[in-house]
Amino acid sequence: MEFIDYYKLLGLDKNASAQEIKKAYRKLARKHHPDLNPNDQEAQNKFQQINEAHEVLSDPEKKKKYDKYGKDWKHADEFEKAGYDPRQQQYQGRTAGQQGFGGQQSYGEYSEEDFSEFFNSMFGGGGFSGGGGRTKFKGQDFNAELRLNLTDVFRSQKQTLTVNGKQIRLTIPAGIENGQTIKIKGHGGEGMNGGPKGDLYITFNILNNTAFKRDGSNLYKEVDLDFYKAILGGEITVDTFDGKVKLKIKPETQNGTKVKLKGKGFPVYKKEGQFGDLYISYRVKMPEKLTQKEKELFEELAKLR
Amino acid sequence: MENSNLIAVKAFCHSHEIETAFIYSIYEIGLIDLVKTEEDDFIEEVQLSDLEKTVRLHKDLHINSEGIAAVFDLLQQMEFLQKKVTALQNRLEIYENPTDL
Repeated sequence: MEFIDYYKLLGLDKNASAQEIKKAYRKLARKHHPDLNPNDQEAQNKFQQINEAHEVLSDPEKKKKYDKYGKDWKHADEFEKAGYDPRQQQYQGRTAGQQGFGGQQSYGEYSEEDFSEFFNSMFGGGGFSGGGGRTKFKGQDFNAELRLNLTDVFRSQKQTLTVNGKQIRLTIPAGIENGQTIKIKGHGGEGMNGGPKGDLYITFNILNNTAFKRDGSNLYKEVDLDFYKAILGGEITVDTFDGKVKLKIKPETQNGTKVKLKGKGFPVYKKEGQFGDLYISYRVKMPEKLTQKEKELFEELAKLR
Repeated sequence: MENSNLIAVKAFCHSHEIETAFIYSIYEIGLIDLVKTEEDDFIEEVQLSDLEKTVRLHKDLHINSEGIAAVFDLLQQMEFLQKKVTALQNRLEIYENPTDL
């Protein structure tokens, strides 16, 4: 586990008074409290570290040991029993080199890895503490990302996800938005001191694999329209998200004309049976590679205008 | 009380090691509802999540009930704005990638 300098973490120097430690802790705890920073894993981790720092620095006995032994403060009693002086980095008569100070540090029966175990036992490996360490605390919130295609969220569907080795059955409501986060209560980390479990937050990353553009529950699509049909009118068949519709084209339809197909858009999130609208925009295609005869006829038409 | 969806205020306070006065102060401010009966006052299970959040804010950050009410209002606003940002980001994509339209 990476060593955390508690003084640096709280923005203090080693001569900080108890009052200054308390003040710095409260200020940072407010800033990084998980309830004030929902879905922010970084804030949650930071809050845990701040509590660790406060737990040690607010206790005169622990602070004294921390000041003397730094990251190995929790083994202070062992060191003192063994006559270890951190300033000389040696046990009684034995040099640091003989004890293997390179790489993983080893002091008697403890190793550096024990450091994290101390905090795991104190903080339950997650969640957050009020500093007292005896109150019940909610477990750590977990965050996950789920990638789906737009076609997948046109209808509500059940999915089974595996999060941290546990299977969670989930109903994904139709119409869920790209970037939307939903909370699955009680599927986060274990609580501390019998506190409730944390929650699982799933953020949906929805890839648009269709020719439609989506804005909430409305869909947009551009459709090519034959020049002659635009001029003379007629009928075309258009693809909607889940089928086809026939549309009448009025004579003299202009390029860029928009039509609204009510209720042919995307499902409205958590409103069963309600759909947005589909907006069709016509893109009139000009004829190409005109024959001589066609050119002559167009010239004739032009003279009539 | 036989209804398993209700938790006695006293039991909740005992479990969370808080004063009942705190629960009544956030009740008076309108952050939670209580089910009051002749025998006791109860908390509905559906309110537990919010209530536990108030307890954490109170114990961790020493925020009083008025402060917690303000925090809840701001968190609600933050959630609303976050949803709006997501919706606007999705809408922006329509204009940033117009060739597909």
